[in-house]
Amino acid sequence: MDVHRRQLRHVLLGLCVCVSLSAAVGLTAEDVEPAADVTAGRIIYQSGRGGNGEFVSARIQEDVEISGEQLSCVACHQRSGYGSSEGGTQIPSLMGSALFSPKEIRRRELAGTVVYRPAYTRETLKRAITLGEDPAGRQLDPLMPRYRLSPADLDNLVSYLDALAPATASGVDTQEIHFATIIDDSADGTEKAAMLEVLNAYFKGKRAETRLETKRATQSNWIKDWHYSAYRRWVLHVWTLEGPGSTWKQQLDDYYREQPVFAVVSGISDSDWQPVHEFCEQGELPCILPNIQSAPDADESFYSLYFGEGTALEASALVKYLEEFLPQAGTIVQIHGPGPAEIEAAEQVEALLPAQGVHSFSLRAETADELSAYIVDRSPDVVIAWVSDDAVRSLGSLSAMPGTTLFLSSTFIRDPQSLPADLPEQTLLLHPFQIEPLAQQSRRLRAWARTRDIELSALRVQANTFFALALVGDAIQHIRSNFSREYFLEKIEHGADRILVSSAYPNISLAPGQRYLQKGCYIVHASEIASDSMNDPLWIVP
Amino acid sequence: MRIRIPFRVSPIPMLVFGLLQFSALSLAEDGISAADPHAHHKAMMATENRYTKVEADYPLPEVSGVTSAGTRATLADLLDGDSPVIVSFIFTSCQTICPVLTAILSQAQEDLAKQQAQPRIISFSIDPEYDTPERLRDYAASFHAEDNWLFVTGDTDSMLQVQQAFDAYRGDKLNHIPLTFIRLSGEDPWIRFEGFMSAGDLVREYRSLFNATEAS
Repeated sequence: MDVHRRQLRHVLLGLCVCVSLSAAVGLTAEDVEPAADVTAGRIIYQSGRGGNGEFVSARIQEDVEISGEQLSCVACHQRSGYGSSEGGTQIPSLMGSALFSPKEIRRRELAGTVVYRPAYTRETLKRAITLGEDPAGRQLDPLMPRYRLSPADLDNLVSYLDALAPATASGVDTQEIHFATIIDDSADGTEKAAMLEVLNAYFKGKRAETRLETKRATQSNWIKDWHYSAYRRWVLHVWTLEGPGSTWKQQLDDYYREQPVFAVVSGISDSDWQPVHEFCEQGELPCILPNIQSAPDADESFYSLYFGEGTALEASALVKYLEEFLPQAGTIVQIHGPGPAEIEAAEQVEALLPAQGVHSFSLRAETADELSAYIVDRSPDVVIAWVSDDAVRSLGSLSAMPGTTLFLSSTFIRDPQSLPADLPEQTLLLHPFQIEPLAQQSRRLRAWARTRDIELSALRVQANTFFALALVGDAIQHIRSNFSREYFLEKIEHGADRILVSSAYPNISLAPGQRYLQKGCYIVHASEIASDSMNDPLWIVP
Repeated sequence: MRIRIPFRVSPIPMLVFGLLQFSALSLAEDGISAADPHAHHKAMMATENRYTKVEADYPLPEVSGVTSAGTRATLADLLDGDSPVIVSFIFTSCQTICPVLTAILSQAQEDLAKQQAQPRIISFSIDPEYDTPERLRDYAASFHAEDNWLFVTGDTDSMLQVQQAFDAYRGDKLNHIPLTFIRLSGEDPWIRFEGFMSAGDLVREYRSLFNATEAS
């Protein structure tokens, strides 16, 4: 063999070794770059932090420096990725299908195509994010931040957007949309039945009113496809929970496995709602406005919406009242019933007033007299009683404390009119409910109920349920065929202030990221509530 | 009078234009109008300039509020007097308009300070029940607001009156529009800026107000 051939053989041998070594360590021409990480991209999108954990920086409005802490992608483009609208400002959808397709009029109906914007590619999308340039080279709105991102972060973010797809959530098929309502078996019988009557009548009415829309979807002009194709037959499933809260998760999992639902609407319980809250959060399942007395902590969660914090809100309002109007109060005695809502309220008061030392007692029937005597003997400045009407009556001679201010809660006192006359003169009611009689506020509900032969035997619960349904209905209307649970919740955030029916709770409002409708509570004299006359009632926002 | 139709008008662009009116609906699923079915109409109504500027007189109601520092102050305390003041309306849950407006103000505050100008800045909350003084403090800190920039909350009715006084109330807080107001002193009119400015724009407008009064 001559020298050249030998050299050639050496070179070829060397190449073979190199290639096989490369194959051995997994390096091929394709993966010189590590595969982009959709999860890392989602973190950038939702938190405004880059792969290094620091907030990213960006420039906006030509010369304004901002950080990811102030304006992450999610703030404007939303968790669902569908974008948003505020005042006259529109923020477009970032669905992969929207970005990586051209924006154009449907071609088949026209002689020719009009293209608003060519399809993005990975590269042009990166230019949009960093330089604010669209695929046609035009500048994006100055409102869109021009982000400074590392190549890896940019890759990951673009991969996340590529993967962002309008997948239809579980609980919806081409014909039906499924909802569940959750009923704690141990809740009050009248209230359970009253709530179900409202729910069933609403669903029945929805089906009756929209039954022809699904038919229109098959016969409509292409211009209206987007409208009629959104309709679905509404189906309600009743999930009844029995036994202790520790068994609820299993029951909920079983119900969901048997029939997945798009969202949970309303519901009722006097027990701790925490297991349901966790089930909904873990399952990424919207859970809208249950009838409960005490709500879980929703500050870090996304999927559950509550009327208010419940008794914890009342406790905070009470403490604020004390700070402002009774700062000299020395001895504070607190009584509570055995339920979780009463205990939570009592604990909240203790947590907010540690220095003063609140003396708390659990009220039991057998020790009621003893407790009553003890309280009268101590003659405290303030008595707080998280107890029912009957329990107040059982406490007997509370009137023998002239200098004492007694606080009761409307959550537990169902009939302030029939409270004993011999309560301290300063008996105040923590009242998170409407002041004007709800019977007058709820005209729409009453008219609706009358035509459906529904007796308003539990007006508070029924008004709340009717409100929850109105809100859910409004949000479903606005998401059209985009059955994304996150998008549904975003529509609820925007729609809550527009709902024209009254719930039992006054002064409610919502905004993106908030999960409690009510932020305050009335504090009024029990005697004034009883007489239906109220001039400028005190409203406290803790 | 005979109406002359120019020969060069071809029916096809007219057809396309007419169909563009329908396209607002058909494009809904592609995401253009996914967020707002009225997007196209609004976009068509938008003006060329990014912001507008008008002079106005706004009589101030006699209400008071609570600052992020926790102190009570009347509207007169906050806004009247000899020195310049800049006003904005925000809420901490606002995701789009307020972060941008506040970032612009933050940058402008920094730029003006370099020019030895330190106007009072007052930002009123339009969601006063959720925006407690604590929340406003955190919000102010995240935008590096200096001490002469106060965020103000209060009871719903008072904050509503302030919004109405400045013609800033649009019903639903999510319907609010980007607004910035500047007034040189209690004796001068308010200048109302509607839209998004750059920090440079705001500084320039502020300076031009000063120069105008010096020249007069």
